[in-house]
Amino acid sequence: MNPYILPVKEFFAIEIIYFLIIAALCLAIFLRTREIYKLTGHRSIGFFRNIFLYFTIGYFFRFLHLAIIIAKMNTGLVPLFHRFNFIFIGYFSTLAVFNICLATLAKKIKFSDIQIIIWTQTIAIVSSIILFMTKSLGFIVLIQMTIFIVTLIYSLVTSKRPTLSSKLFSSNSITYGMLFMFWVISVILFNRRMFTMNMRIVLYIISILVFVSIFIRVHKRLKYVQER
Amino acid sequence: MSKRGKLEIIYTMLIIIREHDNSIKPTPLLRYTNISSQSFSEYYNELLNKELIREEFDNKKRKYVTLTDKGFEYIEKYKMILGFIEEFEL
Repeated sequence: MNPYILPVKEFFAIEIIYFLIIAALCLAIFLRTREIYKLTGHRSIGFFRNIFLYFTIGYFFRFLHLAIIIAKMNTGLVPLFHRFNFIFIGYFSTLAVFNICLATLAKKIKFSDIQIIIWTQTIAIVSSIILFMTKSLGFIVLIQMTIFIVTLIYSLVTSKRPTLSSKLFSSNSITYGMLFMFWVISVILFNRRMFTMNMRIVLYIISILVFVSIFIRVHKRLKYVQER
Repeated sequence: MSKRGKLEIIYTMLIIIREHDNSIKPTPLLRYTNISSQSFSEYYNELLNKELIREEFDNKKRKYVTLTDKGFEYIEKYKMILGFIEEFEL
């Protein structure tokens, strides 16, 4: 058996399990932080929650895209909405990436909520329209990497960690970076011939572990809130 | 003022109200909070909008401020909220 081409059933099973675990973790984080967000209205908590809401939807449309590819392989038919799926993948994943950046920079940026909404929505909508027209997932990865790299540079320039002994990136920056990286990898993994089955499974497991670690940290911090 | 500072000021205002048997006039609240009257006005309105406090009037139509259930909840969970914000550097 060619290790790069997975049997359709196994491929679909792996993808559905991966999607369900990621969606469950993202929704759990989103719902667990609802109470403190309602109580404080703290803007950064809102950005933090949005990361997981938008990733839930983004990963859903990613899964749908793969399901369509599988249906196409089996039946030769492509559903009419196939192309529209690109719009949703582009739109929601770009918003998720924006919220990662906003959660990282919330203390440093002075923009009002309205300004943030206008900018993020405009870029997300334009990106998804271009993705719809070009059908190039590489394009959306490029846009999202640009957003992420600009944030990284801005974060480094405005960093209050001037000493050589201090860490260049905090553990949270690394966590947010990994969330972004695994989203990009999950898009690259659309190409069934790029990774072997084993490599794909390893990447999915590491990706799940990142989400699990965030969920555990949220759960530990908010345990008391939930128990009351 | 930083966001952390904002959460602390809100916490301080709520604590002051609670320590005055959950009933205090706005002017002494301003004095105890020890911030400018302009800042106080902004925070005061924010607390009202977030339903952390409410205004009540006595027989002589004097205004008093009291905590709502949500206000008590905020005090109770303040340290946890700060812990969460620090954990994720939000």
